[in-house]
Amino acid sequence: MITGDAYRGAYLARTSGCIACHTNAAADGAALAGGAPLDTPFGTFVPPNLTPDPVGGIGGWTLDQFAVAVRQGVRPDGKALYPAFTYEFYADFSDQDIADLWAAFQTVPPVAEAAADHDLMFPFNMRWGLKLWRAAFMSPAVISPVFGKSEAWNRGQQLVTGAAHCAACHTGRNMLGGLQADEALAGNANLPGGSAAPPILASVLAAKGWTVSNMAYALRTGVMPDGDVFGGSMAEVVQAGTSFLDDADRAAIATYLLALPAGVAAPDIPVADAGTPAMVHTPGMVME
Amino acid sequence: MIRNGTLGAIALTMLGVVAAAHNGATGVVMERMMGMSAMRDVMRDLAPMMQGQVPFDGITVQEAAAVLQSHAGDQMLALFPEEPIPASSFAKPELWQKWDRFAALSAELKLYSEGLAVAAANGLEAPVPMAAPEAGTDSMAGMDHSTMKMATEPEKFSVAELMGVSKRAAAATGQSGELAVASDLPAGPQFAAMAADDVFERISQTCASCHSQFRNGN
Ligand code: HEC
Ligand code: HEC
Ligand code: HEC
Repeated sequence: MITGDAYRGAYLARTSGCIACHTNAAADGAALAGGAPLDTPFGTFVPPNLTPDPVGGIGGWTLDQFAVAVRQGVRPDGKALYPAFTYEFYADFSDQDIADLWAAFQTVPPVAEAAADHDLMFPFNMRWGLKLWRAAFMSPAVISPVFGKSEAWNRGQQLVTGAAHCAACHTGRNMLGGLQADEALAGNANLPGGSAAPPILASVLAAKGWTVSNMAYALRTGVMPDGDVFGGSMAEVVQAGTSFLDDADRAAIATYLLALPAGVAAPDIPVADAGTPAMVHTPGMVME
Repeated sequence: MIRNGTLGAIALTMLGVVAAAHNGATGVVMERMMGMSAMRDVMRDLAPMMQGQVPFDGITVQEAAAVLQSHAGDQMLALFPEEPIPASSFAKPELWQKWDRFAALSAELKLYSEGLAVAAANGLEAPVPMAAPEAGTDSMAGMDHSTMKMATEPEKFSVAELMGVSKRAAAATGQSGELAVASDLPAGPQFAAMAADDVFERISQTCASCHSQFRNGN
């Protein structure tokens, strides 16, 4: 049995957005007691209570059940979780990572009240339809180190394509919602709430004056090279996420992004997220 | 409308960056965009200094702080009269529904800008705190430039801070907007004990916090 390290787990939870999504900070909600509703074209998702409360939260779960939910997106009752939960990016988490997360989650005070239910439109409220969606579209992250690349680059790859799930917003989707493999990180004009995430490909970034050092700084403070600050959901990514990282990790993210050659897809970047326009036309969703 | 659009397009082509930056806005919308852009330029110029990439110059920082002050607080609020939002504007109508919060953020920006003018004298190093009995002779002796700089770098966060159980103490960043209404406002004397780059970061958090709530992306 692996012993989890609460500090490492807390750092990973912060990096991965678990805290950002599952805590309703704007409404002063308790840590992990349930997130702010995510508005999508399919209805509203409410990230559930993940505190160790046996009734309201996941206190009754085992470590194994937690592992399956986080890496595979399947609940203890065998039902599939909606990809509004970015579990595809966590598929490559090691057993140690999961044990660390679990240990960190135990440090959070239990909250007995469950989060509100999702409010989804038919047929998206049919959880079983997700099995078909998964069969057609799931693309779990598989991250392998690339030899000949620096340690920072490899760490950056791990963060960008995995835990930090940058592609969740920065990669567009085709008509069927699948990954546009040759357009990884090429931007997404259809985020929920009508906002857009610009491309974060090296060529585009370099043309806008981004460097490893000013991007690492932006991921800490939100200040872009032109002096404007990130807005929209990117402001939240920084505020609730990357501003908590170590300097070395922010530099690693920047190193990786600025080294990606134009037009070459980063490997194995999954695309589903809260926006999940992915789900609009998927076979799983339109079939009865 | 069509005519305006055409004129707008011509203006965009001819005036390039200038017109594009303000999206063809006029009147009060134009005015607030110019104020915002002036602040953007200040942030752009200060950022390299705050990262230690160019030499720190306290006078420049104080002048920049004055520019920020002149566009923050009530001055900013006066440029957001309640009205239907014209197509040229990126403001969200929520700012009038949540006016208290919007005003608090604007006040916070003013407060921090005043604080920046104060902290400018400190450069990138917070003055050695008065109560630091632990800093014994051996740690002082070992102090070189890099350990000095470390003092102003954000601390590693605790498990409770990372998990969101307790608010970040070190950077005090996440809670923008609440500071301005909270009772434990960092008043003048505390700014005098802060490194300029720490205050600068609070300013950027305030810009980001307001934009993420009340400004649409372009
Ligand atoms: C983009 C927002 C988002 C992020 C980031 C996120 N989650 Fe979630 N999570 C959700 C949503 C939405 C659901 C509900 C999905 C459903 O009901 O099918 C969920 C469900 C879950 C569940 C199932 C709970 C239950 O009661 O069924 C677990 C466990 C979970 N998340 C853990 C995590 C962990 C661990 C992380 C970080 C590694 C994380 N989440 C990151 C949005 C998010
Ligand atoms: C929740 C969605 C979301 C996630 C996740 C996200 N971004 Fe963003 N990102 C955005 C949006 C929206 C913008 C546009 C911000 C604006 O309008 O100010 C943006 C802008 C940017 C920019 C500025 C690009 C430019 O054109 O100057 C960079 C760089 C960036 N993001 C990097 C990242 C990195 C690195 C990650 C992963 C750690 C990430 N983003 C994760 C939504 C997201
Ligand atoms: C209290 C809220 C608030 C604060 C604080 C704030 N802004 Fe803004 N900002 C806005 C709003 C709202 C808009 C959109 C205005 C419009 O389009 O009508 C905007 C627009 C902008 C623009 C775009 C201007 C244009 O030409 O379209 C820039 C650049 C900008 N802000 C920079 C900053 C900087 C830098 C700071 C911090 C030093 C800051 N803002 C602080 C609310 C704020």
